[in-house]
Amino acid sequence: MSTESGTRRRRFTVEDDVVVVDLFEPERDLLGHLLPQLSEMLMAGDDAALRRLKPPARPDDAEAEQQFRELVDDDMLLARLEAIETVEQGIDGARLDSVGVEAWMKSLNALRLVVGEVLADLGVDLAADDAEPGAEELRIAQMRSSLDWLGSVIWDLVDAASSMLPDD
Amino acid sequence: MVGRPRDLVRAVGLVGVGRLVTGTIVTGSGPHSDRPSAPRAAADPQSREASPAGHMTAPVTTPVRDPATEGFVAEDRPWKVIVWDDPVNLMHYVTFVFRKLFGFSEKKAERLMMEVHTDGRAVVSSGTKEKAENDVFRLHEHGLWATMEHDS
Repeated sequence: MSTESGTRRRRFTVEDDVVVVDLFEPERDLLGHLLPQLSEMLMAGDDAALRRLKPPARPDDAEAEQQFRELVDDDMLLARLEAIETVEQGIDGARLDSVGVEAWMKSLNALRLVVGEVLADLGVDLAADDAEPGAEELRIAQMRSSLDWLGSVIWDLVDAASSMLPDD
Repeated sequence: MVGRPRDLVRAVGLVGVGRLVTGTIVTGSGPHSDRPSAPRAAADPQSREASPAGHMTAPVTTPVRDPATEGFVAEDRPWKVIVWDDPVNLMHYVTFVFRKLFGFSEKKAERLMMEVHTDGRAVVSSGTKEKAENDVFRLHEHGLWATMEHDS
């Protein structure tokens, strides 16, 4: 999509040390559709696609891993749900400070990781190029599109947020 | 990790995906069930540390135990935090996370990201056990796969 001047409209711009969010309308609809599902999955906690959000920290030691999980899981769940809520509140437009940027970054990436796991569970090789899908593969094609789209959004947010990091 | 994805808003527009959930419920022991709990690498028979199923799993390390010193010294040894490659995270994003969480220069963050991408792993921090746990927690919060182990 372009502005009248022909320049590419940016999803995220930096103004006065905040990141201004301005998503395209279909993107707002899709995020508004996906984020509540992610929250639901997190609260239920039993979907295999969530495993990528809790990778093992101590794969060498089952007892230590259990201790780590007991240490972090509740806090991480709460933080994820709060971050998703921040994004949902800003879908139609927001000015993000560093906390808000972090919430968006983490939530979008978590969503992308879960979509990736769902695709992997469906037997999709994420490294392979897309094939023209048949009707029975439509859902897979839609999810691959979402994976790519989320990647594009994250890329743009990283570009904006990187300009706010201290100079080297 | 992957490079820049296609921007589908400009290409073909967005489509809905229906339900995210697959309808399968994990039973039994949860994340430590008999399914691999580590993220999958792209299926590549030539890939490093690929299991016969083509999945990358974290290596199992067996610490050398010295009964004379184990309880006294083990927790005092420094720990290191390792970030592992995965097929979903963007290289651009991983570099940013390294800069943000550890204050690395862009150059150093990119170097470590490329080490993860090409070697499958990179050590990103070291220190006390508490520091390592905190670093792993923050990396997991950002969706990176990180583990901690004693620095040999």
